[in-house]
Amino acid sequence: MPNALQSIPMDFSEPSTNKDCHHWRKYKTSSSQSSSARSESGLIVNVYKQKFKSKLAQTLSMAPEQTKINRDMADLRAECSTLGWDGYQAKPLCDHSIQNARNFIALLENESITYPDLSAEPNGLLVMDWEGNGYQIGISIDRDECLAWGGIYKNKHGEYSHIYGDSPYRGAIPHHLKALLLQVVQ
Amino acid sequence: MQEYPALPEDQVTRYIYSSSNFSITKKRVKHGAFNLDADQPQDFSVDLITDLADQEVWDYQSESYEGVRKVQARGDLKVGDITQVKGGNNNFLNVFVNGKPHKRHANIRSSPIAVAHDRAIATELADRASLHLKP
Repeated sequence: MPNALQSIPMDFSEPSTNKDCHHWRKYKTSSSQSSSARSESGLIVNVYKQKFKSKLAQTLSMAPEQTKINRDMADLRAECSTLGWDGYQAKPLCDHSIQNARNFIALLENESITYPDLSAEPNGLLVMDWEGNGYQIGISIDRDECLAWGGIYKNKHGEYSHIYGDSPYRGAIPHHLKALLLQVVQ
Repeated sequence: MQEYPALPEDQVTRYIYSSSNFSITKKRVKHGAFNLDADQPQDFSVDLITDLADQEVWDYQSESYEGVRKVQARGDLKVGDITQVKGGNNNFLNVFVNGKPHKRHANIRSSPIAVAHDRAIATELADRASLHLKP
């Protein structure tokens, strides 16, 4: 997943397009000569400031979730890296599974799907968990790029239904899975 | 000891040694605690705790599982709840007490299943379980 901070425009050097350069030159050459030019250049600076503030606010509002995901992944990796980490016969958490989950979570940025909680299974898979509207769904992608989802739907009478399946992972969220996740989180 | 089926009113527990298998904030067991054992895919180890007081359940763990990682919690389940869960081939899960390798050892038994189906079953078991944290 790209670092959220990478998307903040930190470069306040001279604008690069010809049009912008024109304004910038005007500011540099005429700032001491004309108040109208000064106000125009001030406007440009203000526009940049506003853009920066808006991007920063957007980034900061996303950062806690991304930070939590990264922290949870690191915690799980540390906790579940040895054979028998669950006190029984669990396999160490698989690096492929972690990387595939990272890629899958990056896809969520373009969807109206909240970030998942993370957990580990004794088979060595990192699982992304969603819960809501009676659903609890866990999704994993193993080293062979098999996308497996499994979970339950519990109705208001406390009756359970099982939901599960698998399909090859091709770097995108399958439509039916996207629809299921939207049902869970909306 | 010949294995025998547990009674619906019996209680069993799964001892939990990893903090990744339960949530303190949600006060619940996670599905990872109930996934089938990797090397015995149709049997899942639990212990019979019917008629044991809470502290006795922890004492039994420390006596029987010496040398295992430090126990952090446990998930208790009524056998009658487990046998309502559908496993592989649409057969309901069963619980058999076998007394091996510990005197109260039992197995939740399912027909062989795939990873995704296992996760669904584990999620239901975890949802039905009650979480008890190690004091």
